[in-house]
Amino acid sequence: MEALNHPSSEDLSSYALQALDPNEAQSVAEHLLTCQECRQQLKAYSAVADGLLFAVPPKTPPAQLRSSLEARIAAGRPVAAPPRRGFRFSIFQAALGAAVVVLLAVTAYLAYQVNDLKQQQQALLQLLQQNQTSLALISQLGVSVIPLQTNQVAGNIVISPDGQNGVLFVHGLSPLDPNHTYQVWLIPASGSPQSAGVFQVPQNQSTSYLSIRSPVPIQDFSNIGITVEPSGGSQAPTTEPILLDNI
Amino acid sequence: LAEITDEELVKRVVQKDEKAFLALYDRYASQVYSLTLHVLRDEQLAEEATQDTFFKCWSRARSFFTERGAFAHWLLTIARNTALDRLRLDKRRPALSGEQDPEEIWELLPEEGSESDEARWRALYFILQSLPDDNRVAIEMAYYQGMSHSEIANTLGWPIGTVKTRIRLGMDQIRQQWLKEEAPEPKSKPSLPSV
Repeated sequence: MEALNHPSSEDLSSYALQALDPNEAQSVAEHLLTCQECRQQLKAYSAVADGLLFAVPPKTPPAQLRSSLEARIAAGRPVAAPPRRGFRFSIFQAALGAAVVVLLAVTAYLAYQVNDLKQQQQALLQLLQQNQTSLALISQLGVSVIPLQTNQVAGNIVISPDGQNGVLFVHGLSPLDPNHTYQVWLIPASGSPQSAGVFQVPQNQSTSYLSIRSPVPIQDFSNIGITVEPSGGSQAPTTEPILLDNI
Repeated sequence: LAEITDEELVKRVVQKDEKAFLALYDRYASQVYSLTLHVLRDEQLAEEATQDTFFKCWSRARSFFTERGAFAHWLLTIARNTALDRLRLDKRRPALSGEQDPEEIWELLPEEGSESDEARWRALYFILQSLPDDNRVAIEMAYYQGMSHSEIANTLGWPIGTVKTRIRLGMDQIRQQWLKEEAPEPKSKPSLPSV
């Protein structure tokens, strides 16, 4: 009965050729572990199978196969620093450098534009605020309107009933360069002029205005004046007033 | 390097001696190429398989152990498996050996002392060609095409039992003729017809 469990010669010969289906091969392999007789029989078939490795007439491969193999092996070696490629390499570097410079310039220009737009936005917001304040002020009942007049410049100052808020409207001023600004001064009968704020005259606009807040009633000052000062304003007037009138 | 044994050359290849490696290539390129060509039936694919075989030899020479068998046997087993894998890839058949580690080749080789040697094996070429066609075809499809019983049966339209019988008969015939032809150690190895 035991012999019935041995793999057949067909299975052993095919096993030696690795031609059995996987489940059959597994079964034969397990049997071989414990059966010396079958291992001996397989040994003969395996010797034949191994011989088949050599049972093919030799044929010389193409010559370039050897050089291709050498190149493949060489590709696996540590690579030495590549030789400089002279002019061609320099052109590439120059082109790359130029591209980087152009990219940086464009980036800087765009950053400048963004910053400029932010400043414009901020200025517009301040202007809008002033507009709203001025509109609210002149809409109040009991406001005072004091006309101002010099040879070249005219205007009005609208003062709230409590006297501590006002809006100055000026006509006839020219736009200044970015390094200068107009500065408004409230001048007491005695003592130093006090700054009421600075303003610019936008291009293509004939009227400028400035919201003024004062801790004391504006009417308590004797005069109002406008001078041209360095950008940001001054602690005290540094130029002759282009407008000076009584309040 | 012509006088140096395969085993000594392999030791040098382990040390990344390219000259030793190329000496082995010069010795065995024809056999590897012919075997892969016989399996793949395409010169371009055979060249690629030959190159892959020798590259595995170069990169995994450390896994060759002299005491476990002949270098030629180890190398040609790698060549056969490499070619069969490529064949199965092209035919979209499941791979038999996959990315087989050269160390695993040992499990496919005969036990040490099997009394096989390259010279005797070469005689098998003539014996194989003398087999009845059905027996020879079944053996060649199994060994050189890597086909299982089922695949051979489907391809030839034979019952599986017939496939098994043809293989067994062919293997027995080879063995018997081989034993009959076996003679005392030949002075010169039989030469094969060049192709």
